[in-house]
Amino acid sequence: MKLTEETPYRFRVERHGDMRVPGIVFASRALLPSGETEKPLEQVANVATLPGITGASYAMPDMHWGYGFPIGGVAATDVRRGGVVSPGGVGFDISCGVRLLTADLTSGALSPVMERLMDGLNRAVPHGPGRGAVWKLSGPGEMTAILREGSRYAVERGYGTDNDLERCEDHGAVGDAVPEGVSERAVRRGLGQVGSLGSGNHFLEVQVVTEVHDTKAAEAFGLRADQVCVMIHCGSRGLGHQTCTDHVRTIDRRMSRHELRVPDRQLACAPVDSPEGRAYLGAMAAAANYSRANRQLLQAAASRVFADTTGRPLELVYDISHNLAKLETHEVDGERRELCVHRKGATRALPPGHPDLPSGLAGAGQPVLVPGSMGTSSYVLTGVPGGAAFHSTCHGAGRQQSRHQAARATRVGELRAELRERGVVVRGASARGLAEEAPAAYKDVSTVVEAAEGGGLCRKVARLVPVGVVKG
Amino acid sequence: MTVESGHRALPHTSDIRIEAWAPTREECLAEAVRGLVASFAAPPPAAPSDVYWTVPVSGETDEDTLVSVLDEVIYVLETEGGIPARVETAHGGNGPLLRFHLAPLHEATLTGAAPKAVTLHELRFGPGARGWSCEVTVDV
Repeated sequence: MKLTEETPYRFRVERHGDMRVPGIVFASRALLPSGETEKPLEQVANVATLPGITGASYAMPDMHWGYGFPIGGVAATDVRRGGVVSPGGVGFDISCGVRLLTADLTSGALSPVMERLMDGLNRAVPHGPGRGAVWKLSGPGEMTAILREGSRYAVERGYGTDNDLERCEDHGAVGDAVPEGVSERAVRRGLGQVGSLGSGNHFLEVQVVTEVHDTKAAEAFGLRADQVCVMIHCGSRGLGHQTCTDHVRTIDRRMSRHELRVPDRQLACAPVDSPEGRAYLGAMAAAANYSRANRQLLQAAASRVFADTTGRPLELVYDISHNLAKLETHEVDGERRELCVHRKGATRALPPGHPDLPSGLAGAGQPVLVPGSMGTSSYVLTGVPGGAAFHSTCHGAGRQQSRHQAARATRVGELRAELRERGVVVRGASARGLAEEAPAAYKDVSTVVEAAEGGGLCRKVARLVPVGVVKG
Repeated sequence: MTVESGHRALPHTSDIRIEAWAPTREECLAEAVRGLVASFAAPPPAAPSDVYWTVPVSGETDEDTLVSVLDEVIYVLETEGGIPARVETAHGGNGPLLRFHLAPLHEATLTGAAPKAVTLHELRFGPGARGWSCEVTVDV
């Protein structure tokens, strides 16, 4: 694939075939996919064929091979110019995201209670595939309230405070949710999972702030050097996956009605302003709210364990998703336009002063939470004025090895020993699960963040390293 | 392919891709189910209980059928806490079907990331010179 270097951190995929816009990849040369691993670039080109796509088909530095969209893809379509919404551009795990919490503790205070704390978190935070959750719902009525109100409902029921909602994207709930658009099958999958991590790359980590790059922003976020934090990475569990499945199927069958064709069936799409498009966005918002409530409940569970073990509860820094489509207004060619911005494995990164920010964060910008691979480090970033890709940035380290490769290449005993030596206490991981998530399976998150910063997408605020992991 | 029926995992960076093959359409669907289960769990050594799950195999297209059959593996895992320890083809009043004999998930050994959704990405299922075969990517 022909790539043109625009800057050391920005490469252009020239238009070819049915591409309506070019592709723009934010990466360093070292991070760029090459040879047999060019699949993600082909997917960037495929996304560029979507009707109404505006600007470019963007890829973040942690991009890797997905299905339909690349993971780490950003695409905005112009609603008034036939722009489409594609459920595959959000992904199955609707509103999968990250919640960062702080404890009023330094690392030294943690050491004497660390094993007990991790045992408590392992018990209190349901993890792994299937059922098992913090909250047993009374029935479909409660599920409807979660789908409509997200974290707000969890807070109303005592799982948090109003201050938490100030620190949640969309104040804890995506508007215009249509719970009726979530199928009975999806609800059945979700009933027994409200307040659970799930499996795969999801986790809860106890972390310590090791570097503060921007003291003023860190202070606004409530972060300081040597502070103990908790990072939770999870999504909308079976309910979100089923919602995406249902709507991809419906839209895939009705594409011909809208005379739409896509190069990959998983890119199935419908005009935003069509019955199918609106139905998906309403159901997506409902599933996103399930995800927000899920993380709110896990916060409450983890906070109780912290309070019991250390005497200090947890405070919320921010909750942000990295799998979502949003209707946003952006300036394009000198005019304000309504765009449907898909971020699949990409994080919104609002700059200081953005009107969507709560007043406490107006001067610092929106916290961007970027988990690294297990046992390495994670970053807190913030948005920058004029941020590219419609104010988006990376969402993690990005896989570079398949799960099979990682499992073959990893000696689990050695990995456990290495984590122990680094002072990381691990709970809840099967041998295979640990091997699949080995750090070598991922790109180096520091290199990814450097490329994101170099590409003008964000800037660093703080770096955190893990001291305890509960694996999903 | 040196055997009549079978399945294997194919490389994919973040998810899993399964290939299955068999002499008939229904057997190929059963192989795909076995391949999906093998990607994440080893059923307990004891014979599965008499709890079973019946899945029709008559979708609008063959590819749609494959997707809905594999969707059932995920659904039964999440809602019943069961994994298909044995899969057999059968005939019901409304045509051919698959029967999943379930084993409890908590008695199985997890050997990989659990499946969460079936994608349409580079989906393939159809007859060829040596019977039926399919390829499918599954989100984990």
